[in-house]
Amino acid sequence: MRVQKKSIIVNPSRCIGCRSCEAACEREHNGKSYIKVYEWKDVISVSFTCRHCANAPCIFVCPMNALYKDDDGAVSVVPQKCIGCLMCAVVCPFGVPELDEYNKIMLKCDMCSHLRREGRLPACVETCPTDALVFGDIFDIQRFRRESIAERVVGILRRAYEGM
Amino acid sequence: MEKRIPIVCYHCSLGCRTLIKVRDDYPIGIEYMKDQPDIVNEHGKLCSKGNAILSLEKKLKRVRHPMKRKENGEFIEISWNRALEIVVEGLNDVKKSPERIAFVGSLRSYNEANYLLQKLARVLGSNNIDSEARFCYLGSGYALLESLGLAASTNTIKSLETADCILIWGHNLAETQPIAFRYVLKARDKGATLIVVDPRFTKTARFSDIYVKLRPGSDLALLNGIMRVIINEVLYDSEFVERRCEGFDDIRRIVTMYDLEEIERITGVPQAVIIEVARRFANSRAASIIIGTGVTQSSDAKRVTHALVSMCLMCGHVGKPGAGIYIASGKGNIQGVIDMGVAPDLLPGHRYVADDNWRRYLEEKWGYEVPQEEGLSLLEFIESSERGNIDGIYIMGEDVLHNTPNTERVLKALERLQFLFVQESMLTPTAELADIILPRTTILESEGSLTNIERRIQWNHRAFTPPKDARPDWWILSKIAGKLGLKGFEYMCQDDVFVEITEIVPQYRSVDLSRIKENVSGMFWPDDYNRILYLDRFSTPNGKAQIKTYKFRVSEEIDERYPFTLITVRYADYTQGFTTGFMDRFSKAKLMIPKVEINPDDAQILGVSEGDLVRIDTKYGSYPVICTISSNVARGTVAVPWHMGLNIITSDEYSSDSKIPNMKRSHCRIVRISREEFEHLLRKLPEHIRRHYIGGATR
Repeated sequence: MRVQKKSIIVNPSRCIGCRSCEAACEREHNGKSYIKVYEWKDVISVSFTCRHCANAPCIFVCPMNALYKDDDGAVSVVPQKCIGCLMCAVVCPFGVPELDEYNKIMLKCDMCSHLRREGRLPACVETCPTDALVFGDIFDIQRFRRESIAERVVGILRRAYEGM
Repeated sequence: MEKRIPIVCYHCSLGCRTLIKVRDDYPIGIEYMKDQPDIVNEHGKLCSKGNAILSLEKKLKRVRHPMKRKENGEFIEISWNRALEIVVEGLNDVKKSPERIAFVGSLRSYNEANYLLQKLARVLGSNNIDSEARFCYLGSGYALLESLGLAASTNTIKSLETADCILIWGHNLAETQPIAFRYVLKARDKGATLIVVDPRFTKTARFSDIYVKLRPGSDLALLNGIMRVIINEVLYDSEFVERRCEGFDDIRRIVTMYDLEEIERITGVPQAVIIEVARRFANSRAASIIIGTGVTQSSDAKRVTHALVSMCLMCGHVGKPGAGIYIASGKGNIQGVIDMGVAPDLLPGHRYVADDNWRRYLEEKWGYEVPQEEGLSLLEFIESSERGNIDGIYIMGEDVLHNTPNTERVLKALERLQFLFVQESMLTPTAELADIILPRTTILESEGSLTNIERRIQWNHRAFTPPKDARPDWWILSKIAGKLGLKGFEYMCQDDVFVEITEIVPQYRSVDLSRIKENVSGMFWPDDYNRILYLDRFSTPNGKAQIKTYKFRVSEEIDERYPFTLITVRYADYTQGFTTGFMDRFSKAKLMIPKVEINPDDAQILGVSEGDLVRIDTKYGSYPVICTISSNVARGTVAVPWHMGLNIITSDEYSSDSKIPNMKRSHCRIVRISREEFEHLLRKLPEHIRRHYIGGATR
């Protein structure tokens, strides 16, 4: 299996709970939103979607081999193969897969494969007004976050130094 | 054939741009304007309303033909000719006494349509023209007009990024206008101070450095307190005040009348916080103020805005990058509506009706006499209709019934009218009351110019074809005027109207039609190259800003029958009465039945707990809700979302100075009720309100 390359990373400290990602996801996926915003007391909010696990249990458990990882590392369904047994739903630690009752197949986030094919980002990431959602190589994202924290620390130290 | 058409989102006053993908005249999706520089939504980002713009178009039943209401309340289709004849007959009847008819402009229509509507009203001899800007803009607009000379925000939204200190007063920016909040967060990342003043702890307050929880309605006292600190500690910019402002001595006299202890008692804000806010605001290099509905929807909107503007002026935070006063109001073309003079006392170009020179100038251009007396405001239409002083109302594209406080009274008043003509694209509750519905095109189905809150004039292109019988607003109005025998309404297309606007409205004179059509980023009035207003001179007659504040009443007596203060709140995925979600998300969202937020201490006294069914009573009616316990609100305050017809119980008492209803704050009581009573109350609600409770209440 390929190593996971890209992922949607949520930064809860920047999420303002505006539900733009939900609305964008709904539009791109025929009225069904795979990303959801959870709120606590109308104040704290975080949006959450499939983690596209590097070692995804849903792929292992699928009896029809209907789940696969695409080139960017998105765990996606082949609708023709899926039989709606929901074994993936059983093993998923996050409760992500849901059943499309009409077509009797499993539904989940595919990181907007149709947009990525055109060279664009997933709709939720592209629309997020505060950049709380970031799409990219996990190593790059984490390096960037480390650097920005380090920069802040350096800034504080510098101010303290200059103030002396 | 697939096309990408640039449109302007009209669901809030920011005017974000986006592309609509259209295949064979059918919209198939949205593409973000990712690489477009200089648009209000950086990288083409949209909020939930903008993302759902296509599905929001289909929320209500479309009006496809001109319709006439029969006596039994059913609508029948009629032809355009017949519909226009009936409208013209109705308007002709009152031509002799033009004060007996009223017009309502639309915040969801173009500048051209609003310009034509007010021209039609004034040429007919009536200043009875108003819009819903009354409820969420005009109070502050009047104050800005008096102090600074123009009723408009003074800076660009992007400029917020460079502010040192941002003061958000009575606005949940994160939830209602996330795109603007992006710039606030960017400023904060660079180290700016964010101060949020709100009686409820909101998502915006979560990001604040200083959160000020004031008692609802004590804004003026708090502002006088802050100004007192600024003056006492000599934090103000004396050079700026000396050179560019007037009235500083009066303000010094007023604010020194109160001491901070008294202000602490009235507002519930500790003295230390007041001092901290004053110091941070005054000592910053460039500070911005964002004024929200907490101010503009209350009856003292004008006075509070005067005080806010004065505070800003005192510290010199006007007319430089990063410093500005913004009125962040809710609906689409609100700035354009004010610019076009859709108000009973304002003419196009931010001039009062009483201004003789300006009236003569318009009379010369239009060839008709412009009435001198101020007209009635929107709430006075309702009052006059009750008293029988008004025969008919012409409403252009606005859901007056849902958006006006005290719904039942409005309902009765609208039913009393001899005629009610509604020009509307959807079968809204207001349209259902109409005698004649004239089908108009929606914004996406027609073209025209929209002005956003930063004074940016943008051209919206037609995304797809309207139903066969729907017509653009300007066409309908010019046909009516033509049939009434009025001259000067002969237009070939909306471009002609826009050209007339650029000739008449002085602020729009520099706007080039072909440029705004080609350039997605639009143009600013009054000067596109100089986007910050009042760089060296204010627009008041003598070029100086007027500093002004008011004394406040010391205490309000608490009515024992209605001990709580009800404040209305807004949610992110709602626009007016509509959710942005599809049914799937809607049924799972928290918003099925409105929830009332009650402070834990109050809940203990009332004996209610999470999930109980309660009834909110005000003087105007009762409203069933589900109770949720939250310390977001202070004791004595309850918060309810506004979107689901809460206007049934909101206050319609208006102030005499600016005629703004006090709809943000009403006095209420909370009563616990059984499920039977809850369902009974639901059934009793007016039909259009009940529709918003789809399935949720009985589940």
